[in-house]
Amino acid sequence: MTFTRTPHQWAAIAVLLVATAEVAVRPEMPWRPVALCLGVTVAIATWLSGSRPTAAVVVGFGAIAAADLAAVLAGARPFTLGTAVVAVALLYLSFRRDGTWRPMGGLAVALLAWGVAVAAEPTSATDAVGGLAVLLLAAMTGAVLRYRAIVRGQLVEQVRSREREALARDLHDTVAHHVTAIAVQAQAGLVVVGASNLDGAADSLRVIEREAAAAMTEMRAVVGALRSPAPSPASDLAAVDELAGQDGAGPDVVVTRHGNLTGLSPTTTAAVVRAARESVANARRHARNARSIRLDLTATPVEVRLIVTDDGDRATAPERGGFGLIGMAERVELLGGSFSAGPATDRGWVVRLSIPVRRR
Amino acid sequence: MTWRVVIADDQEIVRAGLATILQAHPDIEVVGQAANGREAVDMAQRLRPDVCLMDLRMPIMDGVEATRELAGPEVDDPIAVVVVTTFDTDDHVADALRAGARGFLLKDSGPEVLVHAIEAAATGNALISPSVTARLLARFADVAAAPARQVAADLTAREQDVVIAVAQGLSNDEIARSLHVSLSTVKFHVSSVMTKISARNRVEIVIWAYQARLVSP
Repeated sequence: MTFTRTPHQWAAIAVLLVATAEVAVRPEMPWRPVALCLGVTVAIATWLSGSRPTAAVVVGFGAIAAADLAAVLAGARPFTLGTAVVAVALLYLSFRRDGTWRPMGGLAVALLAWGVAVAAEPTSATDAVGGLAVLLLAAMTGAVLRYRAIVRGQLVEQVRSREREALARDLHDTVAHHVTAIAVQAQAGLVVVGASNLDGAADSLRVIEREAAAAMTEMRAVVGALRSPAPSPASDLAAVDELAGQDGAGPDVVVTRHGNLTGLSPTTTAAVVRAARESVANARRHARNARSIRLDLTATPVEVRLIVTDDGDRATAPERGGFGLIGMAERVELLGGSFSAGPATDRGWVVRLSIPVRRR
Repeated sequence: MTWRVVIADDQEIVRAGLATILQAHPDIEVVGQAANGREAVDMAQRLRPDVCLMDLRMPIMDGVEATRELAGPEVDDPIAVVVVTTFDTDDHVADALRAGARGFLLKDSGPEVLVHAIEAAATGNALISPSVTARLLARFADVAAAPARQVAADLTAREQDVVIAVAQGLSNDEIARSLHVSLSTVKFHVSSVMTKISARNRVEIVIWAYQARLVSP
């Protein structure tokens, strides 16, 4: 037997224990065996909520309604099991997790249980309305959080796909320049060869030219389709040095370089420059009371690394995370590198990335 | 007559290839090669070539800025600049045309088009890459939707015909044939139009034609 349990299963065990304890410590409670059965059923519903959230709501509120109905039919005083309030959390969970329409079935059962409870025991109008409000609030909170998560997921996907497009565009842009050079040289070769009548060479040059022309036609079509108003990519790591210095009263930016940073491929350079700019901009915007931002750029024979740190007050992750980070991570990972961003150990925030080196 | 040409491109292999192609033509002499905009400006001002072929994306000074220094509105004695690019959708092409370039073409257009462009730029007899240029310039009409710099009424009916033909990308020869007049008459009209609307080259005639609503996109 294994003790690995999902949070839902642990919660179910907790519900069972609390319900048993509640029944045990409330000797005045009528129909204690039935109350215990209700507690067990709610625990089962909680267990079920991990895989079938709406079914859990139906089971939970169904049990509550059944218990109240039984009490009414038997002419007994309806009883209250405090632990059953867990069913409200199940209702929330169902709206949070289980699509748009299915949770409505669960809500219908919950409203039925509310109706039975109000009919079974004369309560004040305030209590009745309050109970109803709690149910609707739980359902609404779940639905709202669910939509927020959906919207955020879409935004993340947009950012990632924009980044993929930008990378594809940069790649095509670079390749197109090389292919242009091939085509121009082939044309020049043809001109030269034509003068000295070397037929075989002329034929192969014609092939080179035709192929290069075809490649360029394809390339232009793709770049045209991917084109956006984004500025052309930085072609030089000098753009990182330009970030150094102080912007008004803001933190001082210090850039240090180690290793041989020349001859990196344009796509790697563009990714590093973008990440450096974005990280400095983020630090300026978000780091509270930061006095300096450090950019460490290191090249080893196999990879180029960028570490950006600031000495601002310690921040929590969600506060400083954003779509910029998602974009940076996407691009670095597309280039076969790794990316991380988070609070530094003592104070401030640190962004680390490394990209495998392909020298020009 | 021999056309003297300066080539500016930061890709050495492209520069050398273009030079080889042009050098092979009996009427063209490549007098200088520059690796960036600054070098191109210095070289062109010193050597006064008939045409300067100008790449757009170059380090130190880009092609748009270099074009402005060689052929911009402030320049008294402009040099004919032809922009060469990798992509015909490059946003900077429009900037270069506004900065005074006489036209643009793709680097891999081939010897025939290249030589034709040099000739067209040097003589001003025709627009370079007429169809693409006309389409590109049509976009200016929206951007610069300001009132026309000068009312078209200042031109004679014949001059307006010539302007429309130029804006359609016709060369002087083609205009002469379509209007049934002599080539020298067309040249006379074109230069008279350029004086009246203070245009310094054919590209500016086309831009003006759109702004004056003589032609529409």
